[in-house]
Amino acid sequence: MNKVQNEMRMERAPLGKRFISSDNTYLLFGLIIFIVIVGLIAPNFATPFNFSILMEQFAVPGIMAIGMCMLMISGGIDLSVGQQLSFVSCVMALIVKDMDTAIPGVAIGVGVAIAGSFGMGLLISRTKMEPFIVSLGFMAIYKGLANITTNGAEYPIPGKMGFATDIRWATLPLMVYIMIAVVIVFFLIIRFTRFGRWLYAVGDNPEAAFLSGINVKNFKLSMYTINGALVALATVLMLSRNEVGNPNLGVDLEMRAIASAVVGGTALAGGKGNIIGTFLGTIWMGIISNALNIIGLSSFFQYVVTGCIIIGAVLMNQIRYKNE
Amino acid sequence: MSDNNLLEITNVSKSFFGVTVFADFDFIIKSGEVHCLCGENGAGKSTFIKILSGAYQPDTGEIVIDGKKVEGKLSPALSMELGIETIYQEHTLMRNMTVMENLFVGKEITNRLIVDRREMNRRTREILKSIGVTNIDPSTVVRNLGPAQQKFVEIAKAFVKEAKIIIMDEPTASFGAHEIDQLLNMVATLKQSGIGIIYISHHLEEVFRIADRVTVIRDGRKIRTYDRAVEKLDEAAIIKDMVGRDASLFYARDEVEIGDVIMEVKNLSGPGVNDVSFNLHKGEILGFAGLVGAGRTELAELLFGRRKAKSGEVFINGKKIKVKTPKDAIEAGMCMVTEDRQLTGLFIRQKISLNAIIAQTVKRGKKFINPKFDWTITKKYIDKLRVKCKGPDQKVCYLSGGNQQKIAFCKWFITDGEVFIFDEPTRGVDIGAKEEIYHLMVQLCREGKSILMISSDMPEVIAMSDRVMIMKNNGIIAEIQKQELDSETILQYALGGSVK
Repeated sequence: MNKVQNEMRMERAPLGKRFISSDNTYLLFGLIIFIVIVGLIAPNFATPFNFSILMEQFAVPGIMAIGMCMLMISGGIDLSVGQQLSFVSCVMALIVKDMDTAIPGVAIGVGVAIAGSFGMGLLISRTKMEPFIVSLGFMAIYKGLANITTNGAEYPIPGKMGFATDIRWATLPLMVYIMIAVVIVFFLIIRFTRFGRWLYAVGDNPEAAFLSGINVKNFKLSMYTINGALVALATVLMLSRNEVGNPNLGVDLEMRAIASAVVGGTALAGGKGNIIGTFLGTIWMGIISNALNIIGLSSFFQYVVTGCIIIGAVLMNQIRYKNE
Repeated sequence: MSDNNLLEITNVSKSFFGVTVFADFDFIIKSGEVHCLCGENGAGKSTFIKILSGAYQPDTGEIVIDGKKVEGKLSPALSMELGIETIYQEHTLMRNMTVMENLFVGKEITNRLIVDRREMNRRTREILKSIGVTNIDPSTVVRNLGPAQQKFVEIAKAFVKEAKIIIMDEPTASFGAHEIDQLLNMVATLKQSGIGIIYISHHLEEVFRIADRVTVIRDGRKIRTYDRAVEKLDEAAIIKDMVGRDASLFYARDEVEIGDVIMEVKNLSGPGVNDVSFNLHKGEILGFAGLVGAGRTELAELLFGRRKAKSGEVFINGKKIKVKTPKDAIEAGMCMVTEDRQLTGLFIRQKISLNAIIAQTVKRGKKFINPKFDWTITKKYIDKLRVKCKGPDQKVCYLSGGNQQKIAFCKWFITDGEVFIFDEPTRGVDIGAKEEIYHLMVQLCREGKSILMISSDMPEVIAMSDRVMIMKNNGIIAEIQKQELDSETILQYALGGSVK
């Protein structure tokens, strides 16, 4: 037996030490090294202008990745978020395009998004159906609905919802601050509320969570509903940036959200993951395609590299946590 | 050495990162012999199994199987090819396949092109019968079998593979007395057919019944091998070798004054439980004995709200409580340490602190928590329970079985409940940790809490209980007072007795 353990002299590790031993440190330092290297190769990469564009690009996938990360920690997943965003954008644009104010359209769109996710949450939490399959079904439904709403066309809404890009502080648009606020709020929720504790408990072992007194069904339901609200928020930002409601607006976004969460250390099996890691994962995903763009590689090649990064990140996690 | 040695291990050592976990180990097993390996958790038994089954490669030493020295690497495939089969503690059958499909997996009997199910069915019946099992239908899906039956099928499977050496790791964990008998008879049958059996168990009664030889292992070293042919197996000496000090199978507990009735259960019925009534007093340990499947765990789950009761009433402190979910039970002051800590008790991949505070977050009802609070309160309890760990931030999966069980206790100690339900509180826990857990239980009673203890471990039931309820066929068939408590009486009721 280990002598040090027997003495029971334990103290909580200081913040700095906890930071260094956390998984996110690797992501962060990797990111810095990556930026330095690409910056040396391509002089127009590490410029304030390019970074402000990058930050703007992160906003929507960043918010969706936070929702996905929470769902995945709790043992769930939602493949429909990309198509849900497309559909909700069509609904919002349809109403907004003929009105002077965007408020009713946005309100209805948010309602539709939350209602859809609530319905999905009901199905997943009340039955034994796999979230993967149920959300796959919803993905198809949203895709169909988006095209039905627009008749396959798109609804431009120039200048009607531009607030999130027009309002700027320190050259960065409002949407960037909104994303940062979402990251901070969810980080604090996970750290300082019992909801955050339950998230990991339910994801690790739902039966043990139930036997510890957690209402697992309602908990899962609330998770999906919250995710619906985040998708609604992402849709508003997306419309503000693109100024057009379109059935293809959210294509691939669910994959990006899942990939960001996974690169950030979130496990598909549940019970593992964190907000900061996911946020860093989002930055990684965005910065890689941006860097490849600047270096001059075609977008098809970017898919290949992105895929390799995802697999590499998961592999690294596997090696680090072999014993679990 | 005589030439019927199936396996000879000499001087085998294994270390990880410079820490020796297994040193200069010698071990011999002859054909038709039962060689028991005894030792506490962490003594090196699992390392031994892993070396033999090819999961670990020894650093030094020699392994001779069937007279042939193993050259180079003993891989899992080679280990099986040489006739070594391991029956692990966990179930390893394919749950969604039938018994016969499991037995013949990879060795399906074919009738030219297609699988000959009729022949496989017949052969399965034959094999099961040859090891003394007649109550399993070959076409049952494994998922529907009880834990003991699954274990029997695994043994039959080793038999089909023509194993020469079968390693059984704690095969009787969660078995009832009757099933233990059945398994030990099975071992005797296998032995007669010339198979060598390495039997690993915490239960010394079993070891004494079947062992030809007993090797005691402690801290990765062989302490001594006892040979029944040469000497009488001495229980006290073996226990002493195992723990390195004098100890007894029977824990001598302190008496605690028993108070008024705290919980009253009246005519409770539900899935697996039929019309059960009893009282639990303050400071009392009420034992529940009986065979596996008698309805004891079901009763606990009914009380705690994991399953829904059909009828009946439960009172705590004279107040009627309605339990629909575990949350209701926790709020009424109940706690339950479940039978299987890995499956239903712990969040194995999470920090100790999360495991420790989770039930308390439900009971306390506060929505905001400071992570520092998690840490401090968990620290307090791991000191109190003397959990061996690196600290509250360590993940539970890195702890040993006994320490994991203590964390499962910790979770409920922090909630400060009144009535504790312990389902097999010391299952898979070594003797040292067992005593500590008993000590904690007595301490709880002293604090005025009450304990409802379900246990299949007879010495535990006898040593710890103030009163014992015996369950059979989903109901309570007898109540035995402390004075009349002995294993014969309990067994008599549990097996056959129907007189109340």
